[in-house]
Amino acid sequence: MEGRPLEDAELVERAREGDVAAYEALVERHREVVFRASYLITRDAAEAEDAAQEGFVKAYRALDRFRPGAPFRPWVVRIATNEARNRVRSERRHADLAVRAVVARPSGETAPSPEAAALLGDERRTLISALNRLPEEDRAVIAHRYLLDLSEAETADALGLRRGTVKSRLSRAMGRLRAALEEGEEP
Amino acid sequence: MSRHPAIDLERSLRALADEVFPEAPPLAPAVAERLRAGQVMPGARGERRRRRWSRRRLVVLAAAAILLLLAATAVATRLGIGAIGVRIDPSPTASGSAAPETGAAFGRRIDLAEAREAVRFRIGLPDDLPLPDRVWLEDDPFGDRVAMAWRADRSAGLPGIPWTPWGLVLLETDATGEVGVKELVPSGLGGTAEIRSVSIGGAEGLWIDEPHDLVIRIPGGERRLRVTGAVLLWHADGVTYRLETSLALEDALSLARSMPRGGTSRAPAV
Repeated sequence: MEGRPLEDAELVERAREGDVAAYEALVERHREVVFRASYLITRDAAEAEDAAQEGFVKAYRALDRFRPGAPFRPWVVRIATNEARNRVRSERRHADLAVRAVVARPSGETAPSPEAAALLGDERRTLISALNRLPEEDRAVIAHRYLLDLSEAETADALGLRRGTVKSRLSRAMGRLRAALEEGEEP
Repeated sequence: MSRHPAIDLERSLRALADEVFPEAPPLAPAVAERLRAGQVMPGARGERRRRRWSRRRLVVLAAAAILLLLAATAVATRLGIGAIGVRIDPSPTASGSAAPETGAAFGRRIDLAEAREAVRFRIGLPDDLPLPDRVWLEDDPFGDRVAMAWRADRSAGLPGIPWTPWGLVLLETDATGEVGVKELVPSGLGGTAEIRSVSIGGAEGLWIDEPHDLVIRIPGGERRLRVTGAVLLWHADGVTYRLETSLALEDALSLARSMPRGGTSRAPAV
């Protein structure tokens, strides 16, 4: 039967009542951002997959604590990143957000966007290096806002911060990133 | 002039996303299969609690055996009480800041009445103490976390915790995930790793009388703190308690035992 796609809130409501198919639809809708958020912490695709999967299962079990009407996406991102952090920490690795380029991409994958293609190799490396020199708090807010493409409000929910704090922290972090890039340009 | 004006930088960062992430795997079938196989209902807390209780029992039983070996061990060991893990590690990472920065690590400042409204468990307070001088609240996806501190006052029986203004710091959380990990160095490697298994009103606990690092989860990351007081950890009826003090073990136990079990606070909202 054709129909409009259900909103997250409707799917959450159905999932709360035990409708696994509704929850499956939510997972499908948000799997990419949740996996990416986990990957920023684990830096390993297999571990990120495990953390993301566990995050979704934990979120399902915690649905009774989910505030009706709240956005689902940042909530599940937060749960999955906590899971990723716990996994990394249990292996005594440094549990912070770090960015690195994917060296080998699976064959058959779609070509990068024109914007990505326009990024020169050197510029990309400089940007990643500058990003990784930032304090973790700065990196986290930039990664959530731009790499995961969350809105400011979603970034605030995912990081457990106030929206105003995200705004000011993001502005400060971007300033530092710009300074780090300029430093990197000096001969 | 910078070659990275704001708009270009934002665009570059967004474009970078295509470069830094591998392709996301199809998670939905695996998640659905697990949910169907486990017949888990949303909010199945009973199941979680039973599992955690069982895990906690195992951890404490293991701890009883392991504690005897800590003095000589050179192998990383992991214990835990409720939402706080304990790691005895022969090769710890860099030490945290010397002074526990409790405010920044424990969430936003709040008053006790607000905290009582905000958390889902009932906040327990030691009977013999006045109300705390400071209260912080941290929201967590897996539970609520409240921290309270009393100023050092030797005449009131609260000697100061070294390098802090506090005589007692009490953290309570009903989190189901791990919110913090204590890292200790075993004896023979610069530490003593003295941990004792204790009982608080029938609940198992740990007493750690050695400076150590506490790695605590905060929004967007985690923070490493140097803990200079002794710490009593215990878990009762779904709530994990962490009490930091300069008191001797018997006095700390006496304070802990004066608190109602499982977050069922004696006090009405202030």
